[in-house]
Amino acid sequence: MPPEGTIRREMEHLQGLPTIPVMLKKLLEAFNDPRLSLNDIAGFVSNDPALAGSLLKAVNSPLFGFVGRVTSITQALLLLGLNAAKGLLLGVAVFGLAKGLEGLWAHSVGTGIVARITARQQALGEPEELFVAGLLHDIGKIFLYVKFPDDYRRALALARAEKAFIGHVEKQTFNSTHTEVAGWVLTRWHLPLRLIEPIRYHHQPSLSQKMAAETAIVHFSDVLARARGFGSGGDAFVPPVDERVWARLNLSKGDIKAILCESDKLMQDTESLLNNA
Amino acid sequence: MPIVSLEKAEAGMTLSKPAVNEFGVVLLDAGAKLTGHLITRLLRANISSVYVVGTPDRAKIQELLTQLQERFEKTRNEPYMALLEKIVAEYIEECHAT
Repeated sequence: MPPEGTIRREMEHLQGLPTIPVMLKKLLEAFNDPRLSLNDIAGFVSNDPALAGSLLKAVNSPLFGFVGRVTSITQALLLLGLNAAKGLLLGVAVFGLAKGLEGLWAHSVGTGIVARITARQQALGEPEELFVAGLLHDIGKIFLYVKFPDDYRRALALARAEKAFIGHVEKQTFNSTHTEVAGWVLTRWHLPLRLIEPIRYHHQPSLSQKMAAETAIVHFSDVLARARGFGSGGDAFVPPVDERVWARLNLSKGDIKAILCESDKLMQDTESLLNNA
Repeated sequence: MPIVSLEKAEAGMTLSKPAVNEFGVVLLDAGAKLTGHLITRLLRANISSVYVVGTPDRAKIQELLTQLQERFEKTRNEPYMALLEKIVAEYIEECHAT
């Protein structure tokens, strides 16, 4: 098992891998600029037809619930806001590398959907950002899979065989978990804290200091998406819900059923998007 | 009350909830029976799925409940997890009832 420091150094240089697409590398270079504006992102995306097409398809899907048709990149980015736009573009780029992680896309979309609905229920601002945080919450699994594909496949097989949580097997195999890896890589890639913290602490929400409300929602959404059976997180079990999150969200039985009902409908409505990933 | 993608909907199915467009306008009331013509018009209005009246598929419900039980195997005894499992199980039953 490699020392944690070695893994961290290797993961922080993930974008140097030859398997990382050129488009993603250019996107990350753009994110590196602290003065990056929505106009800059619009210009960048417009020059890449595949990325532009994926963004418009996602924004016009029921996932975001924008009334009317979104026809331009600028309009799409204005509706999303800078944080959600960066996260969604990253998601579109990175999930293309996740072929072989069966069910992860459906699980990630499901968690994003539940997060957005729960954020609205909790009257938390910017529900689109919570959708993106939910969508990206397991991105660390993709990072590990891209860097160590054979080891990660073995870790998945071991989790199945031993009926273990994938995070536990990741710790045994890599001396780090998908949440730690995501924290290192996304910090290196200059993602906003409002996305990084919920992703980094979605299994340990009490450790989130600056984004406690957002992290609580992503934690709960992961648990509920697993309970409902949206896709696969890499193991077969629902992780335990944090008691403080349960108390904080204070959802009644009716609230949870309403979230499930709306989530099911959205998952049904975006079936074609899920199948094309 | 099952949700059905309009591409899989069939003439003769009855709506259990109104079909509403993205602006909140009711296009078809609950109780309306779908025809081929109505399905086409709903698709043109960007409706992708509808709630229809169905008969309970006990085998399907049991399959889903068994899968739910298996998913909670490791954490059922943790705080609130038995309650969460019960809520999801009730939801599954209600979802697939008439």
